[in-house]
Amino acid sequence: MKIDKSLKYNEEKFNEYKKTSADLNIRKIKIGSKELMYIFYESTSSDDKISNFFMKSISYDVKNDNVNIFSNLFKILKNTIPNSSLKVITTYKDVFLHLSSGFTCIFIDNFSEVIAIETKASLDRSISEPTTDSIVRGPKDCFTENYMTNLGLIRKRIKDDNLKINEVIVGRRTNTKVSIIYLNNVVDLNKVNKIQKKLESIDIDGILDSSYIREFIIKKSGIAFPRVLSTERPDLSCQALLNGKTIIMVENSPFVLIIPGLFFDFLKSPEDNYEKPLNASFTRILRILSFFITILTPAIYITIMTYNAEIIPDKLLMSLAIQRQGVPFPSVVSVLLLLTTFEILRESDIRMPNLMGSSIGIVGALVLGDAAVSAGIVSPIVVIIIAITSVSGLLFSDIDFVDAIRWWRLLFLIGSAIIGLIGIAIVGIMFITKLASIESMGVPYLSPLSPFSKRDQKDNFIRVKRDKIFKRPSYLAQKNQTKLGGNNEN
Amino acid sequence: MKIKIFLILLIPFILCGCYNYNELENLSICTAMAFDLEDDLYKVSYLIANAKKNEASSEKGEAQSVIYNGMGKSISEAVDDLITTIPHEPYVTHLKTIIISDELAKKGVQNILDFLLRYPESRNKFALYITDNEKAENTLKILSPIESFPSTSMLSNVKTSSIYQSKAIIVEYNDFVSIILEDGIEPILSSVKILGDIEEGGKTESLNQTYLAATLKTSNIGIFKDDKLLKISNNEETIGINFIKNKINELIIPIPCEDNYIILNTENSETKTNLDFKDNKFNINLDISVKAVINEVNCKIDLQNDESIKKIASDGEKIIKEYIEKAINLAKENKTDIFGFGRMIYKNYPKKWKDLKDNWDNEFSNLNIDSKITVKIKGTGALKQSLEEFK
Amino acid sequence: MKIKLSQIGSVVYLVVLANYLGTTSGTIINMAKQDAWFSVLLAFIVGLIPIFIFIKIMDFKPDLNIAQKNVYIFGKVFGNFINILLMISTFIFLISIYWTTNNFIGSQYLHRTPTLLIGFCGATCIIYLLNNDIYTILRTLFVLFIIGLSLYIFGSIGLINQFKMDNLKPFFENGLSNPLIAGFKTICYNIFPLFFITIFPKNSIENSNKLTKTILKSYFLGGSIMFFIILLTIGIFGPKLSELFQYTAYQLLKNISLFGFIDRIESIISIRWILYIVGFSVIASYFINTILNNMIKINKKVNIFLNFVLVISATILSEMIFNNHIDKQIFTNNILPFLSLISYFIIPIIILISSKLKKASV
Repeated sequence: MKIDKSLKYNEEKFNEYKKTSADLNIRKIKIGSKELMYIFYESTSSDDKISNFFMKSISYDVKNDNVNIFSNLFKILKNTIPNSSLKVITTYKDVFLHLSSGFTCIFIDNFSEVIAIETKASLDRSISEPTTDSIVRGPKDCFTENYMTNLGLIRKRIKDDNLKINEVIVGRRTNTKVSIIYLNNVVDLNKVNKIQKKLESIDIDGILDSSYIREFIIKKSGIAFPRVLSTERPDLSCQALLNGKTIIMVENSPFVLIIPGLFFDFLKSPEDNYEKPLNASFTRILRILSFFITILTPAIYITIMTYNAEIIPDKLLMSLAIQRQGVPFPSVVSVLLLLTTFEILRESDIRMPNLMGSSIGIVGALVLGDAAVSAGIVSPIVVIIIAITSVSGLLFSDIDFVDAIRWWRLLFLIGSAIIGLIGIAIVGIMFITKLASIESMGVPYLSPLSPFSKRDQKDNFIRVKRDKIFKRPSYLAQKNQTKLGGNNEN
Repeated sequence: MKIKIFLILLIPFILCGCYNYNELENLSICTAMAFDLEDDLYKVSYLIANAKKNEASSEKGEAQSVIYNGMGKSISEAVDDLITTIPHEPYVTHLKTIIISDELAKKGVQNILDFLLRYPESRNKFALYITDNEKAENTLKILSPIESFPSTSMLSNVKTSSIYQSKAIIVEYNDFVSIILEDGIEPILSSVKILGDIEEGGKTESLNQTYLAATLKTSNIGIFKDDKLLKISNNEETIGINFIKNKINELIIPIPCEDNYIILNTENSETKTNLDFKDNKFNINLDISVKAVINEVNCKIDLQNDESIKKIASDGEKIIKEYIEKAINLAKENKTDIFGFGRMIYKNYPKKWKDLKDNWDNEFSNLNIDSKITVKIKGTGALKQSLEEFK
Repeated sequence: MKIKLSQIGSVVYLVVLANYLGTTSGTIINMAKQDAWFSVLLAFIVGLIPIFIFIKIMDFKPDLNIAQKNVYIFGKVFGNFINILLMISTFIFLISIYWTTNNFIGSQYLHRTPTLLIGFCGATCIIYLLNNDIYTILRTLFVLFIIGLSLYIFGSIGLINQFKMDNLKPFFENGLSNPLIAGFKTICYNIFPLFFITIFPKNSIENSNKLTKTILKSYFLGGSIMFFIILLTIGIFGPKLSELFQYTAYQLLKNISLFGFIDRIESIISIRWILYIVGFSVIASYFINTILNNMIKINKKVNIFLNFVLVISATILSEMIFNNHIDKQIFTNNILPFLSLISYFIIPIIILISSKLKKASV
């Protein structure tokens, strides 16, 4: 609805509105013969900005007592207010939109346009260390809930005019800004357009966090592995941009989404790029090993104890049999019991506030395990197996990934409890099939292993010295693939 | 639709249920087997290691070994009889040793072979032994204080003896069977003997004493023909057989000097067998080179003198040649080719082997075997000179 | 999206090695005794002829797969007749390999479970694989190829030092005729089924000018692996014992002893045979599925049901047709080579000659 010219009408309207909005402030000023009214939300605007930008300039003009003011107040104000972001809006809907974003709206009598100047209060925390993905050596800043700060953290790292930011507004009531960031001459523009169309077609009440966007972009859920990597580190985001990926940034959310997120990205950590190549390769191989340990160990234990005892070396055989003596449950039940117990412990460790003592997790694990062994409920080696499994699972930072591992661990366990080693093989083939059938934004999930590309192995399982990595990954970037040396065309 | 199919396919998973699911403590782990002949019936004994906990809730426990018997007209019948007495199902994958009594071996081991090969879970890497005038079951009764159950102790006993004395050899089951199946070579097996009182040695109380009531001793090699045991050789023939088969590791050679002995200890010995065909006859040339160290000197001899060292070496060569002659005579008298010379002829001259193979036992006696032995004395240990010389 | 060359290479490798376990190893050691290595060598050298025939068939009309090519060359009726023949012979191959697998697992791993249920468990896995599109199947097969190759290398390292050259002598004791026949049978079991690669139209493969090189590389890799396995089998066991065992490939692995303490891993390493057999079954089932799709129009849901019926019926038939293993032995020794010869060698020759005639006439 267009704004009414009469100031009196607007004043009454907003006074009525103020009865149910406790933080709306209205002030009327008279300049010469004209009347002004400006409104702002005290909760989102900062008062000293208003006085700095607006009141000072008004009083300056008043002092100058320019005759032209009275006939052209609107034009003067529009041209002289020393605020960089000044907008002219024409509908009431836009007024409320801008008010909530921290703008001050200036209504002038007999004008149907409103000037809005930005006087945003800083309602966010400062840039601090990341809480989920910390590294030892390297930049330690992380994204906050302030949208412009986040964009700034990226802009200051990639000072290229090819860095494009497309913005879309999503959400009927929340009107959240969602932006797509990409490098123009590296990324496949069709994919970016696809993402943009998908975002524009979302018709929902409100978007509160980037996870909401994630659920709309990626359809399947459940047991599947995550296809989108979410991180709160700007250096990881810029690395992904340089490799040819796209980033989605959502207002009020410190986590950005990196699309496409492939399987091997979840096994890497940003610290690999800051260490020496040899040490980084060792850490990567260690992570892959721990991935296999955390998925397969309970299943291998069950199959060794029940179906295929010929794998056990001779000296271990007697001690394993002695440990099993007197335990009332079958091996499968013991393993499942302890798995559940460790999951409960892990969950309670996350939720427990720090004041109550963070050592409960460790103490709980030790005491429970030891007490269970003494009471004769489980055998000691099951405690070791489950401890190794859980500790290996903590190496991965993405929660969705760890949850998916949990499900597949259970499936492997069931497979081995039914037919032993062949069961593990069959479930393993189904696992690989499931991974190979996923495509994240058109890129196969298991690249660069499964559509095998020899030159991308330089940064996959191991990391080669940086002066030997010449090109971007072939499955992400089709044009401008040279990273190092040679012709870096525009 | 996909999920429905998947669920329907899940049904056989549940029905299929755990036919082979066997918890580890429900298996009777059989670590050694013994075969005897009693009153014309086969007697099979299994040595089962049971897991036994001291109390119900502690973590510590020990392995308790029990022997079970079964008798029958064939091996499978005897095993059947035995299974009726065992509390759980026997589990033979971790089998370590098999002991066959010499009575049964003289009658023929053919029946035992088939049963053990056919069972799909068996890993044919266990060792075979025969007993030297003992009942096979009694050897299972010897408990050792060092290891947790007896069959490991027997194996380590023989292994040590084969390395440090070069008398015993470890014959694995696969090799034994393939030697029986091939023509031109006959098998051999090590034997074991019991010293002491078997009744006392089988009790657990005897473990707590410092003096063991009964021990197991590795004895000499027994020679076979086809699958029947012929006889058990004596010490020197055993050593000779090991020389020809190139299985000497460390061996003590006593050389008489005056009325005492000088002891040589071989460190490395290599035997090369060469076969050639001259004057319409096959000749075997054994080329044995031994590197030895003087281990013990008990008479007055000058070790720095080149002549005396050479004399010691040539004395050693003579003694080794004696051993080899005795071994060859043993084989020729009993008409068994345990060294595999016939197999060598088959591999290298297959057409000529066709004429010889039917009568090989007699032809073997006419085979000309020459040996050339060189002993090199590498050192004299930590001392440069003999003590007697220094006095 | 296109098929990559490395995926075609992995398909060739899996198909060549899949039939080794029950069929090839039993037959050729029984016939040629200690000269079985020569049969394998001969088979892989002479086997280059069918390979080149298949590649030439793929070159003709590169945007059609084999079913469409048959219809194009021979016309609708006769072309579909040949398609049905190919489908039936592939189905029989599937039945034979399922019997071998179920028997192997049932006798070595789970000897109390009825083999039909083992078959169902395997069938579940294959049906799940089949219900995805071809790109997923090929990506999975590539990973299986890598796992199988690394398991083989790991296993062979532990076996090499037990090899005795003596066991291979005397060479050619019984003349050359037996090794030659055994070599021919090897070609029939292992190399003729490579006809399955003609199901991929040449235009759907990326960099298709390097196709010949990739196929030959994988072919020789598979051939050399089979050659080494036979060499190790006869060299370690000796000719008599290797003739005696039913599944020598499994028994051989019981001898592995690595670094002195890893010595009981035969169950884990022999999983690689299961992977090869799964790869072969999936490609064969995809072959049958594609031919059916080209003959009749099938929509997506019926396709899923069709895959299910195909695999389950092959499993059940494999249980019911052969009464005991003697029947299977006779079938494998006498009938299967001729079936393979007719459907994967003579029919392709006919197709090739007719395609040349058609090209000349057009």
